Amino acid sequence: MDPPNENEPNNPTTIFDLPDIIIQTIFLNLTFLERMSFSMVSRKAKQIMIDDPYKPLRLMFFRVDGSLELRVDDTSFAMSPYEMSDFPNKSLPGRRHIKVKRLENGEGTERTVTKYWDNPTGSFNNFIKLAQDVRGMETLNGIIFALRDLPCHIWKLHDILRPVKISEISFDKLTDKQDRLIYGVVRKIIEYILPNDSFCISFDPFKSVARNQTLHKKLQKQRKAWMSREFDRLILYNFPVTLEDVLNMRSRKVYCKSYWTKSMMRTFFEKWTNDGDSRLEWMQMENPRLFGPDKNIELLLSGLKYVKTKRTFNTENVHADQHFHVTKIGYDICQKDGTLASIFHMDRNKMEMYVWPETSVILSKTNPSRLLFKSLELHFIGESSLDQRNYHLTVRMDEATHFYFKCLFYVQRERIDGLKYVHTVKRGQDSLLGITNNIGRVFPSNELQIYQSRHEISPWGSYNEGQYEVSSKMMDEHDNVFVVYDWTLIVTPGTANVRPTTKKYEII
Amino acid sequence: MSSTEQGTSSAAPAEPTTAPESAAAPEVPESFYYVHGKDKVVHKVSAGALQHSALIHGMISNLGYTEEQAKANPFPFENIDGDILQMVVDWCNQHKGKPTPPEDTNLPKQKEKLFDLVLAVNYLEIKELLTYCCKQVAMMVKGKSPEEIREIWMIPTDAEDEAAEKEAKKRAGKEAAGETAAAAGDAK
Repeated sequence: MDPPNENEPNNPTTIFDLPDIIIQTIFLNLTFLERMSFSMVSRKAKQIMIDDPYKPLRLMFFRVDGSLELRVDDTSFAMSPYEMSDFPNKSLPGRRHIKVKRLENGEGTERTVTKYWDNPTGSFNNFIKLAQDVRGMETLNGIIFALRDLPCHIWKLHDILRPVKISEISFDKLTDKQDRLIYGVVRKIIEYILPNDSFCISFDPFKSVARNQTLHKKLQKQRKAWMSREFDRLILYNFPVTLEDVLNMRSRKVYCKSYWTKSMMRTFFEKWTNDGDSRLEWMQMENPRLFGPDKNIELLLSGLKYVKTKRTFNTENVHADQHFHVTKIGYDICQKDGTLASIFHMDRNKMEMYVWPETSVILSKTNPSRLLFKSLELHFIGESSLDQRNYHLTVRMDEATHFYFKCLFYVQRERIDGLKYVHTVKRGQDSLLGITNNIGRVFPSNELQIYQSRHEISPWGSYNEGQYEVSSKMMDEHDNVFVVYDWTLIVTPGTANVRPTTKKYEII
Repeated sequence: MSSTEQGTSSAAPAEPTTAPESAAAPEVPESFYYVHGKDKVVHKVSAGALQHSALIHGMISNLGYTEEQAKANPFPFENIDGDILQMVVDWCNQHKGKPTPPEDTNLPKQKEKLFDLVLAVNYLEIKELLTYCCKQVAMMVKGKSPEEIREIWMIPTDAEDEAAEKEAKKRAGKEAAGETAAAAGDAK
């Protein structure tokens, strides 16, 4: 600290006299809104806030209803319209002072109140501009304008939103005495303000619009155009969609509710498998008729080629933008170009369709299975013979013969965790043994995968001679069976290893 | 804080009783040092209390003054007001050898004093007190509107800023003119 210059007038110390590091420490104790307020005090203050290197906060949520709510990194601030209009600097345009006389308590007490909210559009825009300047954000990503019980014509919503680059929007219980105003506002927002991609939109206000005959007709005209907009996320909570809506949809992620029948659902799946131009990546559909807990999705897929697979899905809560893992039995269907989708029952009345991202390793486009089995070979040293009648394989083998298996397969689309080769041996009704050979995690590859089992010895002694039923399986850690083959082994008395000759039989 | 009012009185004794000598009777006699601010009022502080200040602690750690030497050579802090230094010394004495509490309610509420205190504490490098002070400064504007913040933190308006800048420019111009005139005189 330098000693004060005696020539200078003795001004009181202000916050600007403090070192930068101290100012920054003070601002660490302030919330986003208080920083914003400080930045509005003067140009110098604003510059300090712009230069402040500590900008951890990200504007996340705007709610405009009876009050304005700002949610920043899980901290929320609520302001009444009065406070909100007080928020920007007085010198900023877009606000007027009006003296309002109103009666309080019904007793005729007259009180003069100054109201500023007659023109919130300008204030709001100024606020957004300031937020962009001060927080150093080019676009306000992640804003949700949720309008609850708000007469939307007052706020001229579309005018407010026009200069703002919004990434997410939600209309929550948008109300107005006149439905046409809601319709008008929403139509303007959808058609003129919302850009493609990075959007979350709920069409709930149309529920009330749908009651109005004239507006309903208008909505039906626009419906196809709006549904075919390329949104990032399209969330339709209470607005039942038709089959045509979903087929027209070009959004990446869709949450919707429907009252479709079985045949409509099947049509959708068929259309999806034949459509090579779908942008759909994720869809969650609520339908109490089809996806209840006691309902079977398998029935809806009859006639389509599908593979039942249990695996861990990386699913998401699209409303909260949270990801989580679930292990479920899904039904894999695939498009002609090899795109794979899994359909599974989520919870309650919901079905989830997850389209797997494109992978470079697709060996069979029409086969949704992850493991393409080539052959299972039985190698043994000693006397043996092969007998195949009526497609059932019988192998004759000398007692105490050394043998091993070789599995040849390809893996496509996605990795297989905990792959294993298992064979169980039965003699008559008795299950004798089960042998598991762990192969482990196998990644998709264009190369042929070869796995060789341990050496085993066929039973010996007169007691063990005879016929054994063997079941060979390849399965993964979720017990998804990729291939199963039953064959018969007959052990005959002989002199194994006397004349060692290596033979190979391809049993599958 | 009551000590603020006490500290502003210029009739303070030469040796204030901020550090009672009879408060503790340690086995090893505690060493004391003397500091004074702009008002030349000398404050007696124990070495334990001064440990809070990284600046003073660094200065005294290798001195090894005797009582007489320390009394004869008080540390001068000419850029700190006497009452502010009194506050700092009081705080150091209060928190001598104690764990620092999460909040300190004894800090001054007046904004002028608080900013001066922040500057002094920053100079003396008392980390804990600086944290409290910054928190206190921030608390002053919690939930306040921009206009209120301006009043509380005494922030000049844009117009006042411009006026101040113009004045500063004028002064700088005058000084520059004076210097050039002086240089010309020297050359002649």
